[in-house]
Amino acid sequence: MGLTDVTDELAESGLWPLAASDHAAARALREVAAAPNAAAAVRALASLAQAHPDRWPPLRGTPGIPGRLAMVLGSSDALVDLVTRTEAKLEHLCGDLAPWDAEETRRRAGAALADAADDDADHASEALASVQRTGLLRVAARDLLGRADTPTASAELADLAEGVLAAALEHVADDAQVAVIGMGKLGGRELNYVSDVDVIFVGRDRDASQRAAERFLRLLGAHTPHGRPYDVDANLRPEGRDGPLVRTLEGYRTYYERWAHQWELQALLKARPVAGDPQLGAEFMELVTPFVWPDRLDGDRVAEIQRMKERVEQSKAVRRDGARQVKLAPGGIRDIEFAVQLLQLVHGRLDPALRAPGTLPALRALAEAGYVDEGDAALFEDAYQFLRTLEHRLQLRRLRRTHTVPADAGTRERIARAMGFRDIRAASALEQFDRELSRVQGYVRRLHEKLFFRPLLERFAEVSRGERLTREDGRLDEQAVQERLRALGFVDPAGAVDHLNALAAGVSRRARLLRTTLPALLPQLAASADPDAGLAALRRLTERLEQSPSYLRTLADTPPVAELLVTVLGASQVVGDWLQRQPEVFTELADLDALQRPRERGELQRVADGLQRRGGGDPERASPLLRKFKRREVARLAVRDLGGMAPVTTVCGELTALAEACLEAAVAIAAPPGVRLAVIGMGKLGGGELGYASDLDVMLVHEGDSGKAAEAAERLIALLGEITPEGSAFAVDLKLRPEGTDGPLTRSLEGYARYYERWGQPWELQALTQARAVAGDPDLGAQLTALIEELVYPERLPTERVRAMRTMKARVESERSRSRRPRTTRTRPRSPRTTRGAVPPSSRGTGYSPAATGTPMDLKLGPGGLADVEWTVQLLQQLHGGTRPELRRPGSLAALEALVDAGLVGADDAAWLRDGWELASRLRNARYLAGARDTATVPHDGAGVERLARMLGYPQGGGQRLVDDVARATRRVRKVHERLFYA
Amino acid sequence: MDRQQEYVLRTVEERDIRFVRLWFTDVLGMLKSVAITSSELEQAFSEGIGFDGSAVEGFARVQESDMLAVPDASTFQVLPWRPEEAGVARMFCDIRTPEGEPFAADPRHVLRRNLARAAELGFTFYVHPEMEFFLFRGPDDPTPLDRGSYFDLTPLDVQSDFRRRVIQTLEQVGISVEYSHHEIAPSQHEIDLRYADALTMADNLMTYRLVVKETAMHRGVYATFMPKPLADQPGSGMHTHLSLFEGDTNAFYDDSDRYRMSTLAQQFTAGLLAHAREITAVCCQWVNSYKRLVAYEPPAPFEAPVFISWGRYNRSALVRVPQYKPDKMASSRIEFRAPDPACNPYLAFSVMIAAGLRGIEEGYELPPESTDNIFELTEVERRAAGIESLPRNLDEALRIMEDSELVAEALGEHVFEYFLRNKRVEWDEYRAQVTPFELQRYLPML
Repeated sequence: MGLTDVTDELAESGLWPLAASDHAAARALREVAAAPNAAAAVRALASLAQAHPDRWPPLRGTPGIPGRLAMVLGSSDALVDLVTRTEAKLEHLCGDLAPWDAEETRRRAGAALADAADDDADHASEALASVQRTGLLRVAARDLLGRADTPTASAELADLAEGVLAAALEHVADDAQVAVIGMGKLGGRELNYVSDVDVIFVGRDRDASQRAAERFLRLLGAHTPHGRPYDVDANLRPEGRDGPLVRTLEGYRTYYERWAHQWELQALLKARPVAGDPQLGAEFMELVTPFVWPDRLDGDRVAEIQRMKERVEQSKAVRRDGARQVKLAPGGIRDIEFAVQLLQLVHGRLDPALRAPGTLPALRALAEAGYVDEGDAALFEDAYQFLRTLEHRLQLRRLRRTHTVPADAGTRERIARAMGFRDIRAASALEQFDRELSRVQGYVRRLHEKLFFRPLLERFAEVSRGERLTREDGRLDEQAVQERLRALGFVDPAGAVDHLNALAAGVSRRARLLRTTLPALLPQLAASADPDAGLAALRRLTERLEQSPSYLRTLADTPPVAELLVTVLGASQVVGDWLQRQPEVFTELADLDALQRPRERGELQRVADGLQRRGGGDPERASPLLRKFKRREVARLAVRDLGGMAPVTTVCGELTALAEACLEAAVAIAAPPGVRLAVIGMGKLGGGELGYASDLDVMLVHEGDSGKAAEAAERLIALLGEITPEGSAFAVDLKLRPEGTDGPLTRSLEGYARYYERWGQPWELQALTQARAVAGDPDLGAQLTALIEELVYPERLPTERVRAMRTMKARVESERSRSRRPRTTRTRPRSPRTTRGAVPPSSRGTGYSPAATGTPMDLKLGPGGLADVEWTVQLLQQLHGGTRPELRRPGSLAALEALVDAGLVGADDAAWLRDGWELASRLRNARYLAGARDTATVPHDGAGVERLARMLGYPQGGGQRLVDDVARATRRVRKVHERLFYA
Repeated sequence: MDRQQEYVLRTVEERDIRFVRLWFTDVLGMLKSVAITSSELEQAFSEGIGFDGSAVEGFARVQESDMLAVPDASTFQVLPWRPEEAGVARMFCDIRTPEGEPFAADPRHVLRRNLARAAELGFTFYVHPEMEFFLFRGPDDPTPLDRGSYFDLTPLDVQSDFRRRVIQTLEQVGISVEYSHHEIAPSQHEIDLRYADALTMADNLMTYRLVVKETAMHRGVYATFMPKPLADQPGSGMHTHLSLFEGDTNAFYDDSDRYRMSTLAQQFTAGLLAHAREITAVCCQWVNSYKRLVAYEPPAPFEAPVFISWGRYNRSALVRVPQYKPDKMASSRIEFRAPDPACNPYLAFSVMIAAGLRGIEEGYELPPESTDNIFELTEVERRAAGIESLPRNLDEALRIMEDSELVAEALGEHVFEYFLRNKRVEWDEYRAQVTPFELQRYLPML
């Protein structure tokens, strides 16, 4: 609404008799029209004029008053109600608006109580509520008129509460000696307009004090026409709701000495006497100080602080649409408060200057003593003020306890204007507000970097490498640095200091660059699967690469690259080693745009062919080049994998393409002139579903001299499989060929045809469902696969083949479960009521269970593992592929999709099979990257499960959830398998 | 540490308690006990007592088998049936992994988890079970000790003194008894506990079973919770009254409904009915449980709740809605009649909650009330009315449970798998038996 519109509306409102001609009226109109929410203000003034017809005419003529009323009432509907209902409140609003301190409030509240009918509790509560509302109105007016900034207004609200509480206590205490200790935001003098007031009570003697406290709570909690005086919450007391309301000093001492939880001691950080016997309050504070600030930082305390940090981190998990919640959403008020408290608890022990109960004073103290960077502290103070101001404006609108910015643009615009945003040519008030809010939240989200880690690194600026950190002016000394690192998640802080020292101490270019870069990286590292190992790997990599021209520069200039690097290093030592041995991978990692793109088969092939040509057909020269190529590409892929750029199907697809390119190049080197050679991929290679740990299952077919072909086959295997200082490229496995290890390495087309027609076993034919020509002579390969297709997919699948497959699968299962015994060998006493005599699990056709038996979960051959998915799909393919050519395709997931399209597998069943396959494959890949030799099992130890969970993106403490997820996925796969395969 | 723990330590000292039994429950519902001396108590509170989980039914797991039993101080009780000098006390424990996480297969944790889900929706879950049991001469001699029947009093009810002893003992360990009476069958008794929140009640039931058995033992007789010990008499059930509270308000009560059943109560009941077949294996977990769940048995039907239906007066219904008592809105509740007293109460309550909550979350419709006596309907009439039956034996119950994602979620994958596996073995062993029925009928004939 423009200025003229408002003026018109005002003129028509009848609030002023003769708008245009009256000089005073014109001035008043200008004042009102300038208010941030003029339209709302006009409505407010209209109801005011209607409510107080006698008061309105004099007020509207007083210079400044219409503007003031418009300013305050336009921002808050609740305050409009307050002043229209009671004329006395209106007088306050139009009066001097000097701040009331706690004493002033106490005096006024006391007088009001005395006026209220003496022993009528309801009237007493009503009197208190009325004083409270008046005080609140005054603070709100001062706030909205810009006479008090947000910290001041918050402090005045705390003073108001303090005064009302003090008067209430005097009213009920009789002779009981009792003190009220303010906790939380009351203790910190940073109260909201609408919030609980947290208190605990301490008394000289329990009974009288207990009665006083109960009366106190009743008095303040009673419903009155104004609402309750305060929502007083006494549940922060020892044992919460179940504990006695009042304790003596001795009672508190005993409790804090013996029973208190860490968080209870942390809550005392904000404790402050607010009412009652001041001497008693002071004694209480003296009593609790050593508990909040113990001499020694023990393990419990560190664990509790870490949990606090996790809470800060977990708020990251709040979904994006939760960003309008300014208190709890990521980058919200709670984040700052927790971060400041965490730093206070870590460092305040040794440095009493940090022990301020309020968030802003504490942050200031931390900055002044050098525990956080001055500039960062100033920015966080601003951010905190902005968010708290916003919270105040949100609450003032209706005096409701809310922390959420409304979604509706109209209401949000009112908030924006009440925050002081105005339309300018470039952007509306609302646009500016939205932008500022997300900017502030984005900034606060970086608090780990700014508040926790930057100051640590700054410390290293002052020492040269090799020199130890020394204590200096109460700042971050060695002990403080270690304690902070431990609190932030490093298990071996001394080691971490050592690494940081090596990385960032001194005056070298490396140290200078890393001091600015590391603070942003360490939060990521601290949240990874293994922070300590990750930091060590970063150190080794840096020592290896610091001479390379781009390494340090890239880390410093491209934060996303640096973050990706530490993510990878914290997740996998294996990949860390790869990076260190093959520094050129870092170049790949540094080009994020290129890294996003999956490698195409053709692209890989061109590189592989180039290497092969450089080798000039000489295996001795080409082989090392191919190995290097393979290792580099796998490292690149692992980085993409760990960086969340490639889902498991993509990872498997790229590994397959890489294997194919290597095979192609190897065939070109190995095949002698005059002999045509083709490579048929089998198993996971044929299916296009290779994992990091997979061997290449292949068969070879040739045309030409058999002797030469056999030699070529041997060369091929050696070329890719030989283990050399560069590692091996791929282990090539020919065991699926006819006659297995007894058969010739390669056969002619006719040889294959003869063999399969006469001797082909059902299981061999099933294995051939995955056969695919992957390298070498394409025509020859195509001829063999065509031949194979006819054998595998006869028009009607003979029943014996189906039965043979089922029998075979059942035998594999029973052999497997016989060969695997529960890990615990202790005999299990059986209670007489339970079943006697163990029946081997395999004696039943249905699932032998992975989760609850004490047998390690086998992701490959175990119940519900990959084999169950693959056999199900392959059997259905063979059953129906004879009449439906579209089903004849290698690859479990691809074939599954075809089966769904053909209506042969239900969508729900397929989803369970696919989910199970993907989870098992992800786990196997992760196990490989974690350096496990046996990638098919879930680790035995809790810590190992925990690390694996972290690698897969579970939050801290997600180990049991991972195990539960695996158990669920495998159970479901098993269920479908039993239904579709054995049916 | 808190005041409860402090209280325990003080009591142990004051009353000269030498041993404290730490109780927990295995997956099958058997009470397990580790005795510690009073001097180990403080450590038990702070760190828990380590034990080998692989020795407990259902506790073996993929990771290491070491577990911690951490006593819950709020469950501390001095055991009254132990000699006064050098007293013995007990506490229930929560089981934790060495990493300090709650252990997934601890039935107490399973129930806590389900209660937490109810709490997220704002509900507290109250239960009131009617436990029935038999008294016999001994574990190998199921001869009834009396010829009494429903509510009979002396002289037929020779064991009323026994019930009084049990009640006294229960009250001594802080468990309130609602009422007790002789049940319909000879030598069958019922002692009902006063309603409590589900976790407390599950703990109480574990104590109850022990108290009944111990009291019987002291009197030289044998008490059994076997669901159906006598073929020609009704079995023992654990009819379970359920209600949800929101704060102090009974969420099952609605003044405006003609049955005084709130929408929530209707949806909860609908959930219980819709999933009744899936949860039966947990509520009735033994081969013998299904001998109780037989509808026709000459000469008179046993009122076994086999048909999936609900009603107010209908004693044949699976869920009964007890008649509303004016001015007692807090007592609004429904009665689920399938469970038997040999279930694992933690798991049984868990699946009941899960089924009911699913009804609330998905807004199930309550089917119409069944007013006919369903036993008198023919098979075809029942089918026409869409009335299904509970599974007829353990095998069928397990097959249905196996397909239930609801039960898997409620129990957690670990317990779900273990339970199924263990129970399948039980069924297989049962199948291999040659019963007296077969010998009597076939041997002379074939």
